[in-house]
Amino acid sequence: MSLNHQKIQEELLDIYYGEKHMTEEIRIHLDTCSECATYWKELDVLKNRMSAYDREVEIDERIIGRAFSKSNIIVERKKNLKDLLVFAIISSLLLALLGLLIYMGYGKSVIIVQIILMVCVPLLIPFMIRQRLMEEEY
Amino acid sequence: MNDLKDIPLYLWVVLIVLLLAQGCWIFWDASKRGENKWLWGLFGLLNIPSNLIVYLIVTRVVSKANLCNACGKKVRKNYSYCPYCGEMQNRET
Repeated sequence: MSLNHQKIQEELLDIYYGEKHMTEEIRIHLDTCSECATYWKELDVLKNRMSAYDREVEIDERIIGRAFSKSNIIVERKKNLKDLLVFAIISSLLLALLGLLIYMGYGKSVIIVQIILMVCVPLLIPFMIRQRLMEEEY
Repeated sequence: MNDLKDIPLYLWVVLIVLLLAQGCWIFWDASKRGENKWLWGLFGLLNIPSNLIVYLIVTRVVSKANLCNACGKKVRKNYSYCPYCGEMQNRET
């Protein structure tokens, strides 16, 4: 392919994409050159074929929303696992401190606090439920 | 109460391990249900088993509402569709 043909075909491609207009010089060339004329015809056939697929693609925002919410769930699970590890470490330290208190002879106080909590915490249930009912707009 | 000194060491260890297990389970369950996991987890470390019972009663009687995927409003967990916009709710959560 000569340089002239290559240049003309590049021009034809630009015309095909609507970036340039058909000039008189190119039109004359197409009448005289069979190679470039065939190329132009191929582009024309391609254009007709592509127009059959050229239609509006319906975008369903709900599907996208669901995909995002699924990915959020996966990310949140990973975060929860990391948080659980951190919590286990912190609570082990706290309970080690409790163990130290017991070792130092404060076992009696620990048992008393446990008994007080065992009796008093269930008394908070109605207040906690009321608070949640208000929060969750039931 | 003077008998407390006679409590064998392994019983203390069992108590501490149970508290740790209870706290971790409550933390994990609270995080799955969208509750305040840190608060509930620390609450679970305080006492066994009354805190676990309290947690189960409070979170199961009044379950936390989900947020609708479409409109963002609060929707109860047992609802299949949002009462505000009609969007189907994700049951995986």
